[in-house]
Amino acid sequence: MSIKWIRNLASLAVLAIIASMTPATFAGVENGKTAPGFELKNSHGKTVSLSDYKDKYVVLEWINHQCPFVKKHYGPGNMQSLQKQYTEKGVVWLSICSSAPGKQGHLTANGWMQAAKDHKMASTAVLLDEDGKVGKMYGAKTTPHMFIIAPDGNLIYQGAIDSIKSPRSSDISSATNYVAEALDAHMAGKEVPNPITKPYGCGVKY
Amino acid sequence: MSDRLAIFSVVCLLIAGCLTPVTQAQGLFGRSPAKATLLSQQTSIQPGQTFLLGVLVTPDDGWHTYWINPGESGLPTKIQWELPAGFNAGDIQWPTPHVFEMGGILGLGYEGPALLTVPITAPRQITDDSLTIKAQVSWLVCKEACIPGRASLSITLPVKDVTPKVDPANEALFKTTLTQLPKPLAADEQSVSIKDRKLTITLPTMALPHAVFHASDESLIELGSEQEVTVKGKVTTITVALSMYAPKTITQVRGVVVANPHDKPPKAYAVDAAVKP
Repeated sequence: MSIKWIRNLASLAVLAIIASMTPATFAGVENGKTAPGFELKNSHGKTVSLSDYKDKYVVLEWINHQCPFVKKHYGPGNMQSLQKQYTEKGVVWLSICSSAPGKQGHLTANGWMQAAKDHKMASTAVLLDEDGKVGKMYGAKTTPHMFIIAPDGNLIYQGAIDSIKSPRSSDISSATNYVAEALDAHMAGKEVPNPITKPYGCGVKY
Repeated sequence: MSDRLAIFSVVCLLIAGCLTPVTQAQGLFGRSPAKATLLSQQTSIQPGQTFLLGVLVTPDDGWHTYWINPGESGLPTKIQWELPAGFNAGDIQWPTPHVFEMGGILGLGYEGPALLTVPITAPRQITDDSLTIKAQVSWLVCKEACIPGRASLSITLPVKDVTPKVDPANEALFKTTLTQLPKPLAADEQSVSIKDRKLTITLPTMALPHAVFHASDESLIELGSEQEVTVKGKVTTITVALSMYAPKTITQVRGVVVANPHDKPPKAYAVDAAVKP
């Protein structure tokens, strides 16, 4: 029995019974509320906890290097330059891979150490979420899918990397980068102009 | 796969790449697992008349392309027309989409060939004996992986001031596609209201107990969220929560009501209504 069949059922009563059988549950997170904590292994095999970065801005970036929308931003170095620019300002940038073993984009810890070098990634850490628990807790649907946590622990942005939904790197220069916009605004004590946008990209390979 | 078989496959792919005609799809990173061709419903262009062109997007087995609202990931197929002077192209008439699921992520689109028909209007005065219409088509095709593809397509048709003939080669495909398009609802057959961030679609003339609504705007409702369907006599109402991405102000709602997604092909109705205050 497929999920789409389940999800298309009109009857609420039947839905309520069957919903508990749906394998993938996306909890999702709400802006303005405390971002849920998590612990994941990084590419060096060390356990990293969100609570390690108390009082700092934390960017969560869902990643799969084989996804064309990720390539769009890594090919010309756009994602890496954002990582560099903001980690230099004290922001913690965590690139999280929720691809299940055997699925596209999945790499072992060693594989990620190499990939981080190959792609000249400048994130604080690459975290492995092989069972997809953290991805589903945050409601990560696409690669890329971006979340920003403020120093007080509250979520201030979730959504797309930028405003032009395409796989073409040539569109980057004319797009509004929502992550930079949100970080810059919040750091300046201003309201985040676009705190929630619909992400675009490949589906996360849970 | 043995090494020999692997090499053989690669060589086949390379040869296929060399032999590809103009209409063959090109992925950004090699051959795309979908191809696109530009077809005409009729064999000639009559000045001042509207006719249908169609972009047939055919994914390989197991792959799919996307509807105008792709769902939780993906991208809709796009057509950029290069028309002769005085010609106009209308919007894509999207066939009824299917819902598909990959690793818990839901999408809307087509698991088989989809003919995206577009009305083209010719000007009253045409001096040429024949004209070429070009279309730049881009799409995203996904299976487990997603691959963007694009093609530069063109079609040349003679200009004749007579009632055009239907092209027998494409007749069946156009006919099937057009009869299966979502049927536009009249103003008195649909109404839309929003209350407490919940959207209600009312169809006052149809009893559709298995109905599912898909919005054309991907930010409006979350694909897969619960839809409450009630039928009273011949009145169907569908209520669904707006998604967290929905705009603050919504004045018009467009989309399709699929009567029963398990029917093959499913009947569908096109909703296009102003939101009642």
